[in-house]
Amino acid sequence: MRLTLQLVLLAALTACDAPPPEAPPAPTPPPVVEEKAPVGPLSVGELAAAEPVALVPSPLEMQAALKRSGLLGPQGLLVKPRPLKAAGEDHDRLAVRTGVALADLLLIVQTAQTPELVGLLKEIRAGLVALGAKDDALSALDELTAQVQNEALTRDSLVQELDALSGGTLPELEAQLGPRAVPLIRAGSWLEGANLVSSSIIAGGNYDTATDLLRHPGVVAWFQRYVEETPAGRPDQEQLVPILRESLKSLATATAAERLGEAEVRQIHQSTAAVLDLL
Amino acid sequence: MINLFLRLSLLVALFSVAALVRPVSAGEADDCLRNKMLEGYAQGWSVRTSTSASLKEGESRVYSVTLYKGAEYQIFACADAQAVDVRLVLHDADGQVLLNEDAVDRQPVLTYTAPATATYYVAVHAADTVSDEAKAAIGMAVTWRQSP
Repeated sequence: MRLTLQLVLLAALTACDAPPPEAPPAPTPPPVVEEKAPVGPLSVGELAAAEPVALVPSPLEMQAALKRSGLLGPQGLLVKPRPLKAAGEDHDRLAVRTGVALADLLLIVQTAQTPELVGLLKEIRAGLVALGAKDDALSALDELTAQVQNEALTRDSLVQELDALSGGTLPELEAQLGPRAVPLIRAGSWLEGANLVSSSIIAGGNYDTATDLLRHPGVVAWFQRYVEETPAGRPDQEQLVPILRESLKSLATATAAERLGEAEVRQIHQSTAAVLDLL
Repeated sequence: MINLFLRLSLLVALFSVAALVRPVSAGEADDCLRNKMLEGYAQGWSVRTSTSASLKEGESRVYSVTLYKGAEYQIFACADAQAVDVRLVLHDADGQVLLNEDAVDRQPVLTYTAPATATYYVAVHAADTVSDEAKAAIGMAVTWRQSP
């Protein structure tokens, strides 16, 4: 009985503390949309100071540009089989070589025989394994290779898969492969693409198209930054890095010309070939 | 079998070391970017590359992009919920503004057909975040297709 009385008293006290009933809510004012500050131009110095990351054209994009110029035959770009030299433990060389194989695969996917595609897929896999790719990345590549072997994919679907590998997945592998490998894989793909495009221009003798196809100063400048950051004194890089550095210096001049002519195209072809021959 | 590799990249993001050190919500930006890339394939877009950055309010990241004359480009970004407003601005090689995506949103898109093959610059700005301390995960992709 006493307990009941206490509870009643407690309830009465709580009721006294309770807030008064709320007034009906005021109508919500419309959201305030902040005015955006106008975005002004950036000076060339500001752009350089920002150390922009280069987003390099893909081999398929280079091939499409060649097609628009009327320089691409029905057989596509003539990718030559490239006998590979032993890369040993040189990760830079492995990365550039993997990029070359990826470019070759993208460029011949519509025209090549299945064994050739499988060979390049295995080469890419071996490169990624040596560079430190984990099982999750490799298993997808294995699944794709099996589908190519069984001819379970149309070539159009395969182009799309490889495009997604090159453009979507590769950048995300940076965490597994380290900060240098992905840009150097891109460098390999670009070098192969630029070499093949310059070959096509030389073969067709149509130098008027060169400016639209090969004027890529930002790309070369980006690769130069990476090569300049190479730690000195690694014996396994004694051969590749100096030639890569010299080739990029020459490419920087040729690809930055206001108008590219025969001399620049031949220079691009020669400089890209000098690096590719080392792989 | 639509894009084994874009599905795979989800796994890579989940299990990679980067996933452990990136903001928890980085996956939201990545997923959004991946979905946009997949949708793009259906409309004839191909992917040049994708990239990501983690930016505080007022910070920017600048990318240089060589665009080909005659190709159509779509550049898009996806930010996580730490961002309120993300801007994409396309500059020419002299720094002049060519395009400025000025809607207040987290998924800006720019579409551009280059008049000449040249180097251009894309600036990604974290214009507004949920707080001064917030760091927004912002993914960006450059896609291309033949001009219609």
